Parts: sequence; C-alpha cells; structure tokens
Amino acid sequence: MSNTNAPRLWLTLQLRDVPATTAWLEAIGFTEHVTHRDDTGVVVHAEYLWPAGGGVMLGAAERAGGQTDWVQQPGGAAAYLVVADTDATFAAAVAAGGTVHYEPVDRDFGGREAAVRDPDGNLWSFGTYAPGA
Amino acid sequence: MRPVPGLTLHAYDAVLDAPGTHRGMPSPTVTLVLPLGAPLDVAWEGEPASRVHQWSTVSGMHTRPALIRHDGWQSGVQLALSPSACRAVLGVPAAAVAGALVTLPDLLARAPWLADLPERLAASRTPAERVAVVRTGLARAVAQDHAATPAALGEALRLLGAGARVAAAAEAVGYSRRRLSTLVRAETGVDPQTYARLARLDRARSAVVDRVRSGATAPRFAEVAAVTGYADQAHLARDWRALVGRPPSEWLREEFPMLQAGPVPAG
Repeated sequence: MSNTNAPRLWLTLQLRDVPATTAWLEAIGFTEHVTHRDDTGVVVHAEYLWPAGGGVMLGAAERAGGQTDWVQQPGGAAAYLVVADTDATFAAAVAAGGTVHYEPVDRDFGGREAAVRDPDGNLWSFGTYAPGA
Repeated sequence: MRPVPGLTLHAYDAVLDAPGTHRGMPSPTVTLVLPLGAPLDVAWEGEPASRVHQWSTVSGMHTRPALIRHDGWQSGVQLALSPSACRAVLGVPAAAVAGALVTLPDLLARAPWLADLPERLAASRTPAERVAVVRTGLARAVAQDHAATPAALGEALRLLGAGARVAAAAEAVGYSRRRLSTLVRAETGVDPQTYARLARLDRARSAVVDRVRSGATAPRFAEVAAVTGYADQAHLARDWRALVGRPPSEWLREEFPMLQAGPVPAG
C-alpha cells in the first residue's frame, strides 16, 4: 500500500518521558497514528500526525540504550509548527505542561509566533507564518 | 489509562493510488481491524470461501497472507496484539482465534466490553476522537483484569520472538521442549518453531517497510536478512515465499507500486 498524501518529512524524537510528552503533543493538536509497545509496555515506536501535514516519529530513549546506529540527545530537538491561532496553541501548550520559551509576539517578517518546550525539553516554536503556503 | 504491553495501535487513513488489494502478512500477533466508511473485505489468500465483509475483524495467527480488497481509500483503526495483549484486551488466549477471521460480536460472549466499539467509532468525527474511542474500549478491556499469560511462558515467547532456538527458550524457563511446545500451542495456536518463524518474518517485513519509507528506494534483501536473523538472503526468500505466497521482490512491487520505476533486486 502506498498512501499518496502521507507526510514525506518526519521529525524524530527519543523521549525520556513518553506519556507526558505524547499527552502534550495531543494537547496542541497532534493525533496518534501508530504506537507500538513491547512486552513490558515501553513505547518502542510511535508516530503522531500534524493534521495539516507533517509528523513526528518517537520512541522511548531507554529503548535506544543498546542501539548505536541512531543516537540522539533526548530533549535536544527543535521544530517549527504552522498553526492557525498562535495564542490558542500557546495556551494549550502551556496548560498541558510546556515551559514558556517566549510568549506570542508579532514578527516583522510576518505572522505571530511563540515558543514552548515540551515536557521532555524539546523546543517547539509555532506561528502563523507559513512558508510555501 | 494503563498502557497495554505488547499492543500496537495504528489509526490509518490512506488515500491510495487506485482500487486494489493489500496482503496482510502473517505475524506473531492477533489483529483487530475496525474499518470506517466501508466494511473490511478480507479473505485468506487461496481460500475464496473464507471471504467476508465485516465492521470488525479479529484474526489470529496464521501461516498464509490475508487478502484485503479496497476501493482506493482505507480508513480505520488496527490493533496488533501480542499473546499477552490478546489476553488483556480480548480475554482469551491468542489460540482461541488462531487462523480465524471472526467479528467482535462473534467474540462478544467473551468480550462484551468491546461490543459498542465499531458503532462508537463510526460516530467519531476526527482522528483524535477515533483514538479516544479506542483508548476507552481498551481501558475497559484491561480493567477486566483477565488471567495473564503465565510469566515463564511469556518469557519463553519473548525469547522465541527475539530469535532464540526452541531448546534454548525451553532451557531458559526450565521447561522440557515437549512441555514448552504444548504450552505455546495452547497459548498461540501455533508451535514454537512457527511462532519464531512468524516473528522473524515480521522483523523482516518491518525492516523492508522502514527502508522503503526512509529512502523510497528498493531495500537490499541480503542486508535485511542479515539484520533480522536469517542465515542469508536465500533463507529469507524461501520463508517469505512459503508464508506470503510470493518472493519478497514481488510482494514489494505489489505493496509499493511507486518503486516500480527503480530497479528491484531479485528476491
């Protein structure tokens, strides 16, 4: 099967706190697409979709201990999300346990933007500036 | 809710190139498919009499592919349940549905907590709502506190699934080979060798799909065989033909037609 409208760019994350960060992703509008747990309940691999286009692949950092072909520092990622309402996403992100990096601000290049760290420390900026749209 | 160990949730919403068929690969899990929009049209390949159109399909372990016909659009939620997750969610060992293509209502005497899942799912409007509906059903299922897979058997299945030989898995948990064989059959519906074979095929399928998705190029089957526990590419190809009914290269062309433009190595 090949899905003709599937995202072709995915942010990849290794998480220390999978439940807190996936709940946060859902709170700001991501939807769970795939979650695969091993026999101890640890999330081996999950995919969350950003409904307007895009996605995140993630797994528990503890699972990656023995894996040497894909090493990433948990909490060290940064991403930009195009949103319809910066203030609403900012409010949801903070209410769900995110840490404010900067509050919504109007940018001179266009759009309104804010930035919040997820519970794992990854930095998410989001705004109405939509390159290519 | 308590997470369900050994469970894979997949909310799918795929606009495909055209109407066609998809082959559900044999795997070491029980599959529960809850389609939206249209019932799932599924049969065991080579067994036309098994064809059904259902709003919920539970299929147990099997050694043939399931043939799913679609009209170019597929949407719904699919769960893959390890033997322990099958007990937690459906309340029965995987052996109870081995080789079956049954509906949730068929299983309802044993799984009433899932009874309204297809209807609730049909009434959901967004992908987030769908996932929430399934999570509610799963929470109700695990709250039943069904009898779990005995720990030693669970460990033996984990070892077999990770590629251990039957004798080594039996020794690790203190069973005779014969005893382990009896217990694995009673739990999964297949013998330990077949369980290990399904797990290895599943690793190979997943490695192939990962490589296709990450590069959109044809994967090298020799490399896939090496990282998924096959002696070599010939063993991978032989097992694939036996369980999927076609060589891996042909399966790849059928499932990922966009790869046709590039060279696909013989499998």
